[in-house]
Amino acid sequence: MSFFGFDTTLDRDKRNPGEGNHENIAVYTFGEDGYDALGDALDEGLDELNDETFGGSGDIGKDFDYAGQTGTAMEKLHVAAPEYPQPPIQVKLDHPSSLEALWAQASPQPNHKQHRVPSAGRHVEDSWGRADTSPMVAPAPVPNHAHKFDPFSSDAANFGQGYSPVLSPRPPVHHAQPRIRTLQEIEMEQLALAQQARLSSSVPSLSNSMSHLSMGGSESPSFGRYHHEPEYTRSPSMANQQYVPDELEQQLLLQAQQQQLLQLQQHLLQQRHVQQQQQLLQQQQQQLTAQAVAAAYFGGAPAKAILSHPDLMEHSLSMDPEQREAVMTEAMRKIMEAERMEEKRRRKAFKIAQMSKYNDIMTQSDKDFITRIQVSQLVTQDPYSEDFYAQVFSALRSRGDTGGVIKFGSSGGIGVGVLGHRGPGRRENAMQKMQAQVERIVNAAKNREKEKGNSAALQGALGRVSGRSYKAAPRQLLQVEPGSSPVLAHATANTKEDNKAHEAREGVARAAAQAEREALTGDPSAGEVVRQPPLTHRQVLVAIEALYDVMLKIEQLRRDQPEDEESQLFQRWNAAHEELIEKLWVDFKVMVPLETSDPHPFISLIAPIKGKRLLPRLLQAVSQPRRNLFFTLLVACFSQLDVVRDAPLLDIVEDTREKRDVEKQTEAFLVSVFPTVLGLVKHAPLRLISGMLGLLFDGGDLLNIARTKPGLALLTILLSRVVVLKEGSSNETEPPTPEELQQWQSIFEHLFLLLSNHLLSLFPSTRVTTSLPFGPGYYVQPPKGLDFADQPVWQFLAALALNASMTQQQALVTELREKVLENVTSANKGWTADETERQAKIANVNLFLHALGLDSSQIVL
Amino acid sequence: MLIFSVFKTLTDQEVTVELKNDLCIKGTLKSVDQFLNIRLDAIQVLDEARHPHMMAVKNCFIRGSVVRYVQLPTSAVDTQLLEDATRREAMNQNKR
Repeated sequence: MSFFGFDTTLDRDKRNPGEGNHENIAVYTFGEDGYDALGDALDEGLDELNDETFGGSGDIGKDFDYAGQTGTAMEKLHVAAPEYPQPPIQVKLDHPSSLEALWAQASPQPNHKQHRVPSAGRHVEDSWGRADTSPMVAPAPVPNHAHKFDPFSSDAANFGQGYSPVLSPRPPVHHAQPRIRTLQEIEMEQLALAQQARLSSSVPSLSNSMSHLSMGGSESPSFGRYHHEPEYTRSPSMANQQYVPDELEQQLLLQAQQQQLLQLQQHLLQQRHVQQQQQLLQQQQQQLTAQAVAAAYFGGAPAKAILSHPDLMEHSLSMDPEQREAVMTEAMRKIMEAERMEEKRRRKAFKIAQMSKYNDIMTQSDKDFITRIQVSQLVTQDPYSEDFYAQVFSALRSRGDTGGVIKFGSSGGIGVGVLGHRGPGRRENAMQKMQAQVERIVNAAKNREKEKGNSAALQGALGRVSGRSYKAAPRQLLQVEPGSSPVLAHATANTKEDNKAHEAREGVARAAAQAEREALTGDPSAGEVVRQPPLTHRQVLVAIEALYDVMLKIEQLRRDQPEDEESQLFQRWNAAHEELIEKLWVDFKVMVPLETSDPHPFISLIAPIKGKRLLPRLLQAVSQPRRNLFFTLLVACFSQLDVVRDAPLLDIVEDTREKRDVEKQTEAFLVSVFPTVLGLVKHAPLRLISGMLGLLFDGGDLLNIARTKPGLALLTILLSRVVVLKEGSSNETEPPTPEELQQWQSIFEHLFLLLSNHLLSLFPSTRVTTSLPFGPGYYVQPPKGLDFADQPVWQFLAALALNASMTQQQALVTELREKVLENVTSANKGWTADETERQAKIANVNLFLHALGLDSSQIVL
Repeated sequence: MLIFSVFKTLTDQEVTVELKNDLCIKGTLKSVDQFLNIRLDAIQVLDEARHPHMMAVKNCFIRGSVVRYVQLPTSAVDTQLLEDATRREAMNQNKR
């Protein structure tokens, strides 16, 4: 007798009170030793009413076919429907609190059906008809009070009647046979209609839900049994217990009524969507009650799971099998599709998540894109003015090599940076490709620039540069009028300077007048020399900058030299070139008379390092005769040179700023100026050498000049050149004539006389040692590095020895004997700091001794 | 764009870029643009202990505006030419 697998133990317990009183829980001991075979003694009776209950006794008829009958009733109702007055909902507000009235109005089920889904009545009916047999639905539409109308429980019926004052129209309906009930329902409906019309009030939602509920209760026998099994069992012992559920029922009824009232109020507030609300309400209530029941009887979970989707349930139930099948397959298909989509989406999301760690990281194509944009922005018509440094730098660095900076055509060019060392194979290929690509981009950009003119708009640039042009960045903070003369502006600042400037202006005027005279007479010595104060440091710097500007213009002109030498363009270019060179030469003040000032303006110009550096570039621009003029002037004014005048500072042991300054200047002189001098001397005839030496004597203190590095170097190259000339090993010039030789001889003797007895003082080491505070003997170790400073002196002495006669050589040896011995001794006895110093000493001595045909190894101490 | 011009000649040279956040990055200069954005390769952060997050970074693109100093190799800079370039720039600006 187990339905739906429900445990029936409780029934038996209750049927056998003796057992049941002791134990509420049945203990099964079948098959065990202690089995008391009580199972056999069980009373299997009380089945006599089963036939009555389950209709097994004969033809049961079709009384239970509610669907069929209500269906026909439905048709009738459809006809009657138009007459049914739509309940004015507002009226309900007049009697909302009157429970009795509400209950009275609770229209029977056909009525509600019409109300609820007038258009889809058939389906709904079907669903309800089906609901009878569907076990799933059993717990669902459980109104707590519905059991009262359980036809199988007379007690329940009595209880139901007990409530008749409340549910006055209903009891007859529920107690009657289904068929009669249906008719009665129709009657009741008419009655209710009349009532409603009379009262002008109706509560469709309540009536709906109520009838709904009552229908569920009355039409589902199984439900009733489930709900009140104790009653069903009709156990005598349960008679007094029936009041307990009764009370419970009462409470539940009250609850339900309250809920309905609550919901009704909610409903009244939302009149607009009556239909929807009705359904919603219904569902809510269904759910509510169902859940309450389910919670009470099933522990909640499974019933809830089903009931939580009343929509679905109702929907699926409202179809016939084929439709359902179709719907199910359709639903399955949709579900599958949704799953596929979901899978797709998830895969995509996963991919995105995977890639997200590379967010904010540039790919190679991003980098290429940027490079392309950068390159396209670099196009310029005049690479040498916009990109001077890079262009010249790469030209200097890769002399002979194909230029590193990418060039296109003769005028345009870009700088993407100096292309590095070409790798072999693929890399080179890629490089070529890239170059071709860049070329394309550049050409396109050039065309674009031509089209749009000179607008500073940076289309596609990697950012915005404000201001007139990106080429002008960074912003200039110091504004100096290019026309204003800084010298004069500065000079007027104070009176002293003003006077000086005035003098200078006067001097310039006079010098100009003299230059004019010279030009007219063609003899510089004809006019008197105008004495001038030497150029101030500031004037020198300004003059040098002006010279640099001219120099740069000349160099730029040379780069732009037209190829066709016959064309007019070339002639114009040549004229401009010549003009600039002339200006350069004049500004360089080589032709200014020697006596103009001390130091000579030219010497002043090459005093700063940048002046010294300018000299070789300048001399490259001028012709050979002018270079010789420069050389002559330089030698004549040699004693005026800063490097000669300041040379004594080099002999100070301690390291001062001045000393370092002089060192730097000397270095610059030897590096920048001297190679030019050397180049000139190399090709000079003996006559010129003699003249130069003579000029040196005239210029001033030869001994002091000889004690400086530049002076000594000059003397050395002059003497060396003479040796070369005397030997006749140089073929480019004709051998010196006897007169020239004799002239030279006298000059040399003069030189030798001047230097003899002072030869030791030429050595920086000697000078340093003697200038030490406590005399030479105080220091065991002389300052380091002096041997290297001595080297040029030994070279000069060697050159001197080569030019000297036998007696002169003997005098040399006598004078230098001690120095030579000192060097050899300290080298041999290991008084030196290290091996390099020892070797330097020996090498120095040998430089001189070799010139005499001797060697340091021959010296025996 | 003198400085830009100078930087172009320094490609493939080892430079040290000091950023305004005191990060010093030494690396091979790959490219520079007119905003002086710098691309460095084979980089190394000078104070690695203080910037461990930079250890794994092998190359970088530095926005020009965040650079405080760039230490250049002396041998790769032609000072005299730089002076000349400055003079040219001044000349060009005076012309305008």
